[in-house]
Amino acid sequence: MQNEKTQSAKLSVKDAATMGIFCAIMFAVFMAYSMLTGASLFYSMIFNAAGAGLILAPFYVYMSMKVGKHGPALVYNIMWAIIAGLMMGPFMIPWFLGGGIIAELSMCGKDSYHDIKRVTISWVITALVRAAHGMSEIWFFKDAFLATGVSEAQVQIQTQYYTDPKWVLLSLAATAALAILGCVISNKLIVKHFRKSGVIK
Amino acid sequence: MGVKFDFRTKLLVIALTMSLVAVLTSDILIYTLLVCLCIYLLIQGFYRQAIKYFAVCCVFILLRLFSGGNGITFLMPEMFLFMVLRILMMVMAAQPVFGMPPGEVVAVFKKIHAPSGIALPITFTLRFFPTIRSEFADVFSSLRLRKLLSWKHPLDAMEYIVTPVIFRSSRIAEELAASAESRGISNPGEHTCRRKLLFRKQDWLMCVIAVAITVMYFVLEGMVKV
Repeated sequence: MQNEKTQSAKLSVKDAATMGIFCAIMFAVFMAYSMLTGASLFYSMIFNAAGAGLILAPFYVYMSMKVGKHGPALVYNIMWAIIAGLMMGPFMIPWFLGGGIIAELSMCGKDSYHDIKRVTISWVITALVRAAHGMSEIWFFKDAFLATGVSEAQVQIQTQYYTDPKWVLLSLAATAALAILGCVISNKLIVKHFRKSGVIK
Repeated sequence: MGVKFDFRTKLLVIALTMSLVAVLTSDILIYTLLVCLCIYLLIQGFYRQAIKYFAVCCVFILLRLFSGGNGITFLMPEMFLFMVLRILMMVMAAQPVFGMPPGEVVAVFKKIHAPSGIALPITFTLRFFPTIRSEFADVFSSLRLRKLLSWKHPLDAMEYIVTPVIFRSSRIAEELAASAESRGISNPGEHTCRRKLLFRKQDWLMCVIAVAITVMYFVLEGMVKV
């Protein structure tokens, strides 16, 4: 019995497949969304993560509840750390990795992955980490960011927005609000479609 | 059919490209690196992908040249053009890894003793990645047929898109997991692989060339900065 309990607490191959596939979907959706909205520099800097927090929430909530064990928040953020490292530079890896650890720590406790409030908290943390990564480039990794060959004009614009508390707060507040809204909508979808059909307990 | 490289060689090329993308500032060096990456794809037999990426890169290079480094109005700021070019370079370097058979990826992770909590999701991500577009395309065409896609009701549209995508993806996850289980992926014993993971002469040659090119670019970048 004890052995069965230990087994069920460990991530199975099915859980790994669920996490892998949903991370791939979230990445593809995020890239498509970023390409569509990336044309506006202001939107990209202030509201990109907020929009992503809303549209990716259903996939994240489903993935977390389907797996129902510790791991999805950390694995999702590790995947993002790898992608961010490849796309933006290695200095971004610790940022997302740290965010993943905090998001996973917020899920401490039994059955937290079936509790929408707890899943919402981890999603808000994840979304805020993404929202603040552009700010972190200016706040903590400015030299490394400049070394990537980014234009002076771009750094000036980013510095102008990301060192102004008004814009920083607006960006983070919008991200948190839309991430919460995304989780509320996702929970309704889960109850309406997936719990009713028995896909999620 | 092109030359087949070992996973470790592909990983080295990705790491070197990542370091170059993070450091290069000179346009001419970035553009020549794009040509090197195209050659890297061509020698491995990724002809269609190489041509596609090269064409897209050319469009963005022309846009950058046309804008004189100021971006094309507010619709395409310089940062957008800059980021797309760099992302494309990383995608080109990673393309041979996306195309790897899942069995080989599993074998590689076993060989390098990667923790299964991370290795398995990455394996499934790589396996699923090429089919995402068709998954969404099927859902969109079905919704268009029923005239259910509308900007007037964005939340309804979101529900109509997200729900079938999640259902389909969840089913695929179960099928892939069952397939992997039936082949003994979670067997705690020693795993064998039909594919031999060998670091051959061509891998050594590719690694030496890649390192030499990277060093050369670093030197040239230093000279350009001075």
